[in-house]
Amino acid sequence: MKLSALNTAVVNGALIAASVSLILLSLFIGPADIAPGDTLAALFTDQGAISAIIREIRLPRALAAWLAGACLGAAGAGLQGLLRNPLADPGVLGVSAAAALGAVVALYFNFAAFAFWTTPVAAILSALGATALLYVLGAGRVSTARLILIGVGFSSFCGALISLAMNLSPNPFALTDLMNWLFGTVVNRSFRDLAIAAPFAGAGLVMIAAVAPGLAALTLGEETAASIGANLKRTRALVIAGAAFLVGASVSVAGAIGFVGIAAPHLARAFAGQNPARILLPSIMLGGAMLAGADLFIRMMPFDQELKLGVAAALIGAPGFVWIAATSKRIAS
Amino acid sequence: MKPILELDRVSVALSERAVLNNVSCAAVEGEFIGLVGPNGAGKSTLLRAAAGLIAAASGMRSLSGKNLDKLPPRERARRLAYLPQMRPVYWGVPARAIVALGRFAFGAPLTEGEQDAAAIDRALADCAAAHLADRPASTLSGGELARIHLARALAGETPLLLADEPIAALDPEHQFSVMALLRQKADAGRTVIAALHDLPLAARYCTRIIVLNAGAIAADGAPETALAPDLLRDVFRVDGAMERHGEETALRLGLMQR
Repeated sequence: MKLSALNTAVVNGALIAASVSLILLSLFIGPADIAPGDTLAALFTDQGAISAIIREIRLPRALAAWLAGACLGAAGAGLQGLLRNPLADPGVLGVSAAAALGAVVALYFNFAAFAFWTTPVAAILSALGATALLYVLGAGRVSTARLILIGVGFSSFCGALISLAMNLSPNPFALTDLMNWLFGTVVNRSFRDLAIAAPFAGAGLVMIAAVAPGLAALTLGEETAASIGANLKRTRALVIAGAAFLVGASVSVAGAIGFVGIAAPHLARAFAGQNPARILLPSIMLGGAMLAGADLFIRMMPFDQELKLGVAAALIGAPGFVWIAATSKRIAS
Repeated sequence: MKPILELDRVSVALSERAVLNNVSCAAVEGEFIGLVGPNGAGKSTLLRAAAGLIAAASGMRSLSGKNLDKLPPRERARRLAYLPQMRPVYWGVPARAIVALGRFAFGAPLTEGEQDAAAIDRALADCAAAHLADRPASTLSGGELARIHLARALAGETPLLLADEPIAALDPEHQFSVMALLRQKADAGRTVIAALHDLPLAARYCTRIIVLNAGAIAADGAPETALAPDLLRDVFRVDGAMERHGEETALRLGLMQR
């Protein structure tokens, strides 16, 4: 027990250090040619234009990428624990698709003309709306298998509506904007964008953290979990609402990004064992590190066309994920 | 003596089908009750209802004198442990972590205090499973896993233990040792109610037998009176009688002669 507690602390410490290093490293890389020494000076002291680039362009962009990934990792770990299904993630329940649809609708009808925050807020609200509908349709009483099936149907329907919007899109510029939301980007993110997402991300993280014991109890199935004193109604409600907040926050800063929500918890299991309560923090850190790393990769690529964040995350993350999924003994029982 | 568990005219319907009809019984400290009955008699439903895991259509359930319906989940879990018939394990956690979940309702749910650790070690030792503690659950045999789950139910050291077929997956040696263990827990002052299919073992180790048939109690009493030849024929459709073998009596069963 002592040894496993130490292991957990080492794994968590290493993952937190990795997240912080990736965010810091992001400050040094970008189109503007700034010497490494100047970067640090510009971060901590006012160096005029260079400080503006570091503090207002590179820092919020790096934080946005990390936050989006961290939220997806937390949502994925929470949902997999709740549904006791290694295939579950926000995408499976249709929450991601609903959030993306919200953003697409806002763009399609050009709500952004009214205020900059309409698109991210639309993403968050439709993630919440989708979750509420999911809950009304069954989460309170039906089995988790049925919940997943409802989510899959949901996801398909939202995907169809997004495709419809793209088909009917009036001009190629709107299409480019839609692409940003569908494949993810953190280019030009500001602290203003982060400020919209942060409260939702924070609330979601608190909700998921609060049900960590319930998730551990669910290792033994719903009947035993209830018998040992877990409050299943509360656990279900908090995970599902928390996932909605987290996915909404993630989509609002970075667009819809798949893969991280399902991959981060599995990678966390490879490092931290399979206890669903113990993988929450590692999943958050790994999710954040994956997207912070992916964004770093994008900035180092010599393409004229910017690589989308979701594309880069899957390009570098997926081969490693496949390798771990095929070989790790700790990833699934 | 004040009953630990009291069921007063409890009826349960599942999917609108009546499974238990006006079942009344009470269990006191020190009893090891064998709950027996043919398949579909309602044994598991009775245990679930007693554990507060399903709602009763009517009737009153009380645990240590408190209304079971009004007890919060954690308080209920400190008074009773329940071992279900189906015992899934969804993640490849070590066996000890499963047993540790039996302490969920005690102290902070995810921390293991000294008392928790001692109770977990005692439960593992009771079930002859201490050597399995560090093995991942997915590598255990069916019988080994059954003992780990029993240890989980014992780890709470609750006044009442409800066990649904605790010896179903076990080899003969472990069937005897688990029955002896449950009897020992009862003798030490706890109350054990176990759904069982092995009537001779139930007759040998239980202090009391409740026979359930078609959702109602058909007999309730000491093994030799509850498992009388007439009842065995009517309810179980087998011939049977208590036979003396030197110092011991044993229930001997045979196919019914028509």
